[in-house]
Amino acid sequence: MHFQVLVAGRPRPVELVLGRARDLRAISLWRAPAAVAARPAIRDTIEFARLASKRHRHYLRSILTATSLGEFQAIITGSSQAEVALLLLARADWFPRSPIIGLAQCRRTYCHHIVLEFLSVHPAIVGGIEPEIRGVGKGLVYALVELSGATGVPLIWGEATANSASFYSRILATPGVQDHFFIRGNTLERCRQQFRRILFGKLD
Amino acid sequence: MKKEEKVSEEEMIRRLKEFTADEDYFPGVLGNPVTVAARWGLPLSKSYRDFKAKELAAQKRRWTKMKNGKPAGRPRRKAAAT
Repeated sequence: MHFQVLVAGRPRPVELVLGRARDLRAISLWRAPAAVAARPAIRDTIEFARLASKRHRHYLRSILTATSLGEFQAIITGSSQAEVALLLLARADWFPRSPIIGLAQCRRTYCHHIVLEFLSVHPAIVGGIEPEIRGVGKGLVYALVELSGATGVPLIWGEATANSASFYSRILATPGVQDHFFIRGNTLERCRQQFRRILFGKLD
Repeated sequence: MKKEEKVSEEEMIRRLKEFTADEDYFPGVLGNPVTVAARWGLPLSKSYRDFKAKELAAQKRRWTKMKNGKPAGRPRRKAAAT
């Protein structure tokens, strides 16, 4: 699975994978560039990287965890009410600071919905360190929508915060998002179309 | 089956620029590390806890008003007796 982001104004591909145990080390090694390290948003990205790494390690030992789309489909075919952990990773071999530039920690619930638990982008990208990279955060949300649509998940939901509500409102074209969001129906379908048409995304 | 759309690089850049305009609103993370950690029973790192404690103390200072209605600042040292 992949999509395109803008790097210093030029398109570059980002590969999407479901995280495995070996990816957790790369995530826990995210570091903030000194120039932006004190910013609250940067501290949050680092803390989420640590939490994602710990939480996914815990999930790997305690609930079913899908490490590929095929495995995800096999699990839900075999056990329709299974809770399945998913760590969606954006990988970029051209990014010098880390092979992983963003992550979304999610869980498939027993009634075949997906909960977006949190999402974080590499601190150097959030801090605007050169080269400017745009589209990772929105791309990850849209990739999750595409993954959901492709596996017949009718609803993605999650908690919005004071910092993220306006972002969800804009990217989902749903005014007035407060402390929760639902992606379903026409919104889900529109995001899937845009993932393919504008982000040149594909589930391959 | 739909044929794959052929798009020039200029058109690709134009679409991506328009699409990523929303990134100005992206806060860097979606979620709150403190509530997520609490919900999952995971410890926050010491440096992050210290950072949040300082942030909270600064917030409290802003909210706290002295009896005369002026914002409370740092406690002033008494002038040394001469």
